[in-house]
Amino acid sequence: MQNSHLLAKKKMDFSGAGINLKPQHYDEAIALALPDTADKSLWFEVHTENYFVAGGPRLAYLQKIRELYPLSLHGVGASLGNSSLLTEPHLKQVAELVERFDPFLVSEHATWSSSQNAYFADLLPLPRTQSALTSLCDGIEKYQTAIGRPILIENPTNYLDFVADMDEADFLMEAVKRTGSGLLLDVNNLYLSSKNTGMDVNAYLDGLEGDLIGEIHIAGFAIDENFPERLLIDSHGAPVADGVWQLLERVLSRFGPKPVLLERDDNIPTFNELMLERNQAQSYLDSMTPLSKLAANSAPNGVHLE
Amino acid sequence: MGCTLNDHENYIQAFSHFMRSGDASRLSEFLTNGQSAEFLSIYRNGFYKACLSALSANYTCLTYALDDADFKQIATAYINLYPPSQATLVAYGMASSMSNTKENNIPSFPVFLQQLEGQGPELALPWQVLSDLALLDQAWISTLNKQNTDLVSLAQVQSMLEQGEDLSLIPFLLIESVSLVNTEFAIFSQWQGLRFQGEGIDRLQQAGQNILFWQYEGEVQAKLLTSAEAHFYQTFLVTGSIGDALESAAQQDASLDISALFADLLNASLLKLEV
Repeated sequence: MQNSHLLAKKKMDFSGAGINLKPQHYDEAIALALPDTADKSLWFEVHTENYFVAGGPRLAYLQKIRELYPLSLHGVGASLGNSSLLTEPHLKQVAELVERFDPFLVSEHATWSSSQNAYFADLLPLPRTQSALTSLCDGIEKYQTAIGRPILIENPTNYLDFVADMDEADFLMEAVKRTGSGLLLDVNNLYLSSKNTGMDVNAYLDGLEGDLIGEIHIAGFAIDENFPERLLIDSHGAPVADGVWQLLERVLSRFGPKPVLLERDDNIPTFNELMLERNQAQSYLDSMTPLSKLAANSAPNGVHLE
Repeated sequence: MGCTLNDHENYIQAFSHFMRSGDASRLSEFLTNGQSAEFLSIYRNGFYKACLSALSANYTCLTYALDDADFKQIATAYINLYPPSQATLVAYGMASSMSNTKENNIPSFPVFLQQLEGQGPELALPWQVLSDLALLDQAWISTLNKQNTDLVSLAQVQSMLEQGEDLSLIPFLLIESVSLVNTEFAIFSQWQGLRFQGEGIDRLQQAGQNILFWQYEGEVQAKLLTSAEAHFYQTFLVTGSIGDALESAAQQDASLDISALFADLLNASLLKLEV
């Protein structure tokens, strides 16, 4: 996979702001693409496994969306960190979707969710150990081989600290470099990890290589009912918080423009409300002057630009 | 840094045990700085929330027919006994498709509801009615997500006839989206009212019905079948032979108009050609 970074970099040239698309917004998303209102920077992301169907309106809508906008496929079920259940039928279905929709990005999570013939339907944490890293890299390689192209892997939300041989940034960068994949930096996840476990954001960003970041996620979170002082939940059920917007600005300033995706999976508001929030992310991208983009892209690691 | 974890599999097994049982004791060695394991509940809560959401989406009418608490109790019992075995929840609870429940000998959610008869909580509706509603929901969504191929049009058949072809020799099959449901109660019209008009269930008649579902131009169609028609479709689905199906139907109803049945099949775009 040595050359896959080149392909990944080529795919990452586009840097607009997008929304993860829900079925209730299909028609409005399509209507928005009328020639006089079309926003060339708008794009959409969908959860890959939700399209594991043979036919019907869901796939037909996605086809129409793909004809109008750039599309990204974001997997949630591959369990890359314990890929023993990453079966041929699963990979075949992902590969068929990639082949059919030619997404500009394909991503998954640096987590696990399956074991012993059970799918736990959540993004479960990996200890940052050498053996977990090996398992994660195996999963990424399997996935990439099946779809014939590199993917991005997303940093998790941390609620507790597990045993670790290395920091998360090092863990993810090592996985990315070993496999020729890229990083999907979820700024909300990073924000929550810093609040929940005291993870040092500056040190984390210092450990990342900007040219390996292919996408950024932002989302809203919830305060845990049982531990309101100590725990923030990655709910995707609220507007993006101020602290996450600020962190997004820092990340863009530091690493340069990237595709930014607004995630909303719960308490889903109107399409117009989501677009207003998405437009804020787009305004951050638009405000990056050519000079600031150049500065961000040429900034050496370890230099804080904020 | 905590202790070094050499065996990733031990960690996965300890975490899996927690996800299945709620017992976090085996995970304590993997947590740093003596952290409390109470936050681990987030992951189990996330798992149940996702599975409940999937069952709720796949069996919508059950959520309309039951109190939230009753639906949650029943669905949670199913999740505990039969957690998802495939890494997608699109068809969770269904007997066929990707969840492979038949192969794994796992009952579908409608079958599970039947099994709760006499064992589950006392509810306003009989368990069999709930199972019937779930079967109809399942057929609707399963039909919606199918892809029909090689449809035979009326014009094609007319062309075949004009060319003198013997239709009994043409390898017709039912299209992929066809689904046949047999209910214990006469519940079909009430299911429609519940699902599409938000109406309640106000009368129950224990009289079986046969309902055919199929997809036409991206939309789900459904109709009640007579006993003879039900035999026809059931035989056609099992044998793949339209001749056997017609014979079976004729045995049920000697007065059955086979030409009219065939015309119905064509008009509803229910046939495809075997490739």
